[in-house]
Amino acid sequence: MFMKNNNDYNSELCQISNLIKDIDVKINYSSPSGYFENFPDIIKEKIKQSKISDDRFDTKEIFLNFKPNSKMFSVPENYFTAFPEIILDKVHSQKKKSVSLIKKRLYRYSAAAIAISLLGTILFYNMPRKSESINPTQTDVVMNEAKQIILNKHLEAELDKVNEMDAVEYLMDNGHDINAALIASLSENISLPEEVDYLYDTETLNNCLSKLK
Amino acid sequence: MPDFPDDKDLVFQFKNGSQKDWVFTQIIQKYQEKLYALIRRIIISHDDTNDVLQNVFIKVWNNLNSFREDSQLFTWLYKIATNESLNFLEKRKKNRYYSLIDDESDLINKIKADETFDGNKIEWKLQLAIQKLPEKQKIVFNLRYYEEMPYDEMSEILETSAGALKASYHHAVKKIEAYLTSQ
Repeated sequence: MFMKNNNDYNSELCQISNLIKDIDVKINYSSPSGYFENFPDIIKEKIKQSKISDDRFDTKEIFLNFKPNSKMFSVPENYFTAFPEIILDKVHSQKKKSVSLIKKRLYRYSAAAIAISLLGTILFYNMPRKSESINPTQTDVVMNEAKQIILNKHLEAELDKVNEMDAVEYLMDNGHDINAALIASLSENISLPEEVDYLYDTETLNNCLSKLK
Repeated sequence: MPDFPDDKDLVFQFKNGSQKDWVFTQIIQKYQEKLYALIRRIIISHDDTNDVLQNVFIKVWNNLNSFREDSQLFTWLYKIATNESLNFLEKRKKNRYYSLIDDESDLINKIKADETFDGNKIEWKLQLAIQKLPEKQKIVFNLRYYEEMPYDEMSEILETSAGALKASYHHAVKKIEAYLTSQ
């Protein structure tokens, strides 16, 4: 702290003005009793009031000194207490859901692929050769038989026993694009066509995959 | 606020430990309020914030095993939270219903609809001013002003240079000042 040297000060003042040097120093103002004791509190209160109620507030003061408390936005009671449990429930159910969803859709894709293969086999062995005359009744019988196989609950029951790797292997062995199958299985925005749809339109699978792109 | 284990320990325990649920609960409890505040200031509505916050922690659960720890855990969490918030706003803009509504005025209406809203209070005026900012500038302002986040950390989260962030913050403050003085 700066220390005043009285000797220096007096000699300096003497050199400048003897008149002023000789004037008795007087206290020429007064202040209410206790004013300086209360002054810090008065200033604090003023600052507080200016923050709360002054419409023409000083923006610098807002930016530099004012931070609204985190409770400004209302949050439902006990929200944060219950939140961790909600998240844990979600992450665990999400795991089960996604696995079963992938399995289900892979099975459906496999079912469709198997159905097409079966239909092809049945048609190959049962349809009349070019040299033979085509009998419409015979075609109907073959188609009905194919439909029954596809719609038969046994097919789905058997497929349920197949694990994911076997399903993937089957699709790959039969020249199916496994990536497309997985994309289809992971997509939540589009459901795969019903198995029977593959019977009536050979473009069903392509149309379905193109929707995913 | 309870004492939580160090972030590095939490990540280590999650990756290697058998008590994943307990460790993950610790992570949620440690960061839920901070992330909530960050998201809420961007999205405003509690219900939407709740959805986004849940998505954030589900993503954290799904990806924490592959978290490479190049950055700190909280930086990574903030990054996910800001990205999820921006994605949410983006999706909402694309929504047919919302495209008919001015997004900014919708957010302002949501602020006014809050049961604690008092239009005479400075903090609410400040909130209204913040909603006038472009989305990314809003995030920069919130991270700097409320979180007092250093620019180098913010740079990691927002993948933007510190210089650009400083400029962005400067513009944001000037815009808010202009809004407040015009009221």
